[in-house]
Amino acid sequence: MTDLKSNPDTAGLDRLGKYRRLVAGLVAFLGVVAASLVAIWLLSEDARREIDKLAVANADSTQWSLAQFEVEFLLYHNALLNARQDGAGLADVRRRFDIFYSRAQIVKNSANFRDVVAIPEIGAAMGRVNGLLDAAVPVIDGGDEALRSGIEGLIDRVLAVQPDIRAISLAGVDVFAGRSEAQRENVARALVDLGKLAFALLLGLLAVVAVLMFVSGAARRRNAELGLTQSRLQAIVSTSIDAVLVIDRKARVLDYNGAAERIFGYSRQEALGADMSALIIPDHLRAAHDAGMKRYRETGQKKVTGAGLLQLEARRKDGSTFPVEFSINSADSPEGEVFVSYLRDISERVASETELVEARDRAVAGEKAKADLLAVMSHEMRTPLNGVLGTLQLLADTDLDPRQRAFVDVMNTSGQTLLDHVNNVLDISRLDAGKARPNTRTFALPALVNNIADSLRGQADLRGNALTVTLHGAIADKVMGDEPRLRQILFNLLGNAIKFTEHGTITIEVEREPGSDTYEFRVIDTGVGIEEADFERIFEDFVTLDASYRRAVEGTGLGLGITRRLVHLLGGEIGVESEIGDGSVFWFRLPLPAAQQAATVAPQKQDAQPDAPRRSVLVVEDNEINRMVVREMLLRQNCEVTEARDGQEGVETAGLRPFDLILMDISMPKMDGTAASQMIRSGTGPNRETPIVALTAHALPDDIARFRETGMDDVLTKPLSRDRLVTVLSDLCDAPRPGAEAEEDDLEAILGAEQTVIVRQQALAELSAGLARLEALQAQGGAGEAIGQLAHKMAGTAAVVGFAAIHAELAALETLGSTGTVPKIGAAIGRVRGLLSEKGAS
Amino acid sequence: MSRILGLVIVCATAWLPAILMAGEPLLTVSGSGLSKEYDRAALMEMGKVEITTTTTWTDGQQTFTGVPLSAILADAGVTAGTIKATAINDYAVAIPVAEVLGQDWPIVAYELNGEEMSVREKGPLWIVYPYDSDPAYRSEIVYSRSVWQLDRLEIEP
Repeated sequence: MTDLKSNPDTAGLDRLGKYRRLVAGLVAFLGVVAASLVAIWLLSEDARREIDKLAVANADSTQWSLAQFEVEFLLYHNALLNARQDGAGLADVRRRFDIFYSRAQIVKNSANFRDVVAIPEIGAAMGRVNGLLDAAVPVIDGGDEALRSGIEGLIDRVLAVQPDIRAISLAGVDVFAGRSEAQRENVARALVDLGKLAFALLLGLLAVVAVLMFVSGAARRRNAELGLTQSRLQAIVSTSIDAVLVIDRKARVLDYNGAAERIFGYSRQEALGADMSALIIPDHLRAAHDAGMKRYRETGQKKVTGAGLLQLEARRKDGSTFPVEFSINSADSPEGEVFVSYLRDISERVASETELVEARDRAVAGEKAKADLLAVMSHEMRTPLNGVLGTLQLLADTDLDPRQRAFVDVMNTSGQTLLDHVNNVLDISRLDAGKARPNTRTFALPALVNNIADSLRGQADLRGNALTVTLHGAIADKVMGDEPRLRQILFNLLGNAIKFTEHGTITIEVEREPGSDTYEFRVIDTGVGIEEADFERIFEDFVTLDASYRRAVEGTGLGLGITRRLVHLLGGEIGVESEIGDGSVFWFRLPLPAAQQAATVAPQKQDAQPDAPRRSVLVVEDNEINRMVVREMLLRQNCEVTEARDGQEGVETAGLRPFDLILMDISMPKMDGTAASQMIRSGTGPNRETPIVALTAHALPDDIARFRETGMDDVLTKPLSRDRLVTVLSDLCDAPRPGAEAEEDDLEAILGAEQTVIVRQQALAELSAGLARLEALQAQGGAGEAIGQLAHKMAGTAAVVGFAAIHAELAALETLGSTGTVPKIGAAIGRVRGLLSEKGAS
Repeated sequence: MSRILGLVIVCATAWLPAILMAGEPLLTVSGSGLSKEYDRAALMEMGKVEITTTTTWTDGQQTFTGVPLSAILADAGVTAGTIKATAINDYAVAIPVAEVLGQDWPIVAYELNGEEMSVREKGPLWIVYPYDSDPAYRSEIVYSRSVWQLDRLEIEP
């Protein structure tokens, strides 16, 4: 393992600090040593000087001089005595005198003897000696005769000063002995000082040695600790479940643990020193990796390092790649910067994630398929239901007694409700997609409630339930609202109440909240009740509470789900209160503004906006009546209309000049609408970017999606609603939209009464002719496809002029054309015939 | 040996009048087969060097005038051996010739403060070093070699 430091910055600072302290300590120590050396040198100098003083003969052999003083005095005395004895030796007297005289001058003048002479008695003695000399000079220098005669006197004087000479000599011995003593003491002191300092220096050196020993001991301990940490780190790395790779700046592998061997398949021997990039980076990532390393080496810019957990692919020895999660960080080491990375093989995790995503996708797709199935089923239910209702209508037109007529009315009401119900179930996809809008019209609220109660009273009676209606407060007679949906809501709730109540009471209460347009509806039963825990759940789709209920009552479990959606669609809220065994109250509140006038049609019925921009619209539609209706509608919206009779003609026309909008029928001979749209979109014509809106009699959500995929921008369903058309025009042509709110497909409102009659008659004629052809085709043994195509064309006509029942029948027939059996087709044609005859077609 | 010495003394005595005429000899250089005498004029002829210094034997600054000892040795042809410098009171000290040859110091002073030195004033000659100029000249040995009342140099091998 390379030597790593957990935090390079702090470690660096620590090191720097220690280094500085060490240097400072060293400098101080050297200073002390230097000072000591200087002091020792100075003291040595001092001692040497003192010793030198001993060597310098300040005293000239001073003692000897003093001794000579006495000796030469005695020699002079002796010479005098000799001369007195034999009268000769005068020259010797003179020489001895001169020598003694010189010596006396030295004792008198020399600085060496100043201390001696300064002693008072000695000074006096010296004075007497000088007196002797001065007195003798005239005698000595006075000629032989004078000298010979003066010898006696000279001898007397000599004898007189003899004690003085002796005293001077002895005093000299004392002084010089003292002086030597002082000198010796000085030397001794200097030597002692020197010794003290040397001892101090020795102590200092010992202290330094102690410090150094301590420091080296600390370093040794620290090394031992480092060694422990190192081995611990080594253990951590080698037992890590994740692969650990350490690389240097050149991406060479410096360390590689056991987990890495297991994960990548390379042995440690193979990996160490190898280029990591060649080892574990997959081919398709290598260029990026090398570029990253190069960038880092050149600029020091880190992208991956220190960025936390990252996910990439890595390669094993056998060349297979697998997903890894890794983190990488840089650290300092004696070999320079290194990168430490932890890698984890997350193949299994990624696999399970993928599995989860797939499972979710499957579930979503299943959900969608279920929704689609529901929509298709409902659609298929509508066809026979329309048959029942149509036949009831025919039955009503026959001679019936009042009782029978009442039965027919009840059947008709129930059938109509059922049709609404089916339609609404079909709308679930629209409701869930947020596309549905309330269809607001004026209706009589009390009548609606009573009507529903009446229509369900029979069912209630069957289970021994009394059904009553109670109206509270100032309920407006005529209100604005979505009557069919309100009817459906009430029908669902009442139906449930009847289902779950036996021999009880069911009450419908309607109450207008004071001072507002909000109405609260309550459906109260005395049935089995619901547990509080289920209050929320029962509004979910396909929920039936438990097995016993399911046995007692039948239901899809959709009723309350739809009911809640509807209440929300109408801007209301819904809830339930219940006690097990006591019954339930389902309530909902809806805003239902009172209608201003009883029979007004929606007031926003103005036609062309005077200031609306003139737009050019191409209508591609094979059905003449449809073309005419669309044209009329567009002209009233101040549009310029160009028509084409099929897809091919549409594509050709679109190639000639630009349009603001193209309305495209889907099912057309020669070329259908989706193909035509694709050609216009993929071509180079002037309408490549023009919005294209599909026109279709009925469209399932999947179909709409398909239209959009082929490049269409929106879908208009037949029968055409003026409001939708205006919306599409303004949305797609980017113009202000009229403030129309109410969806109103009343053809009269668009075309006017006269025109409507004409159009409807034309339509009836066309439909009758179509019917004849249908019957002929059927008689020929029925090419189902031809019947389907014809039915489609006829359905379009019926839709445009608002023949809803006929449209529905024909649309069903269109579907049956391709899939249905001969008897079913026959029945369907029969129903169309019945409906047409009802409209007075010939 | 003593005969040869006797001969030398006889010869010297024979020449004594000439010598007296030339002046009283102040310094005798003898030994190693030579014997030379120098009077004041001869010494003064050989050189005149002044040293102003204090001495351990006198009080205050003194100016000595004399001839370098090395010059006397050169004149006498002495190149090796030891000089035994002796004073009138028979004080004697040995000075190695090698330590003197080619040196400026010491001098053999014949004047002190511009005047001849009487025996009473430590004359007639005085071996003097420039004591103040260097502590090395204030050593026991130098002091011992500073012979005053000098009157002869004997050269010993």
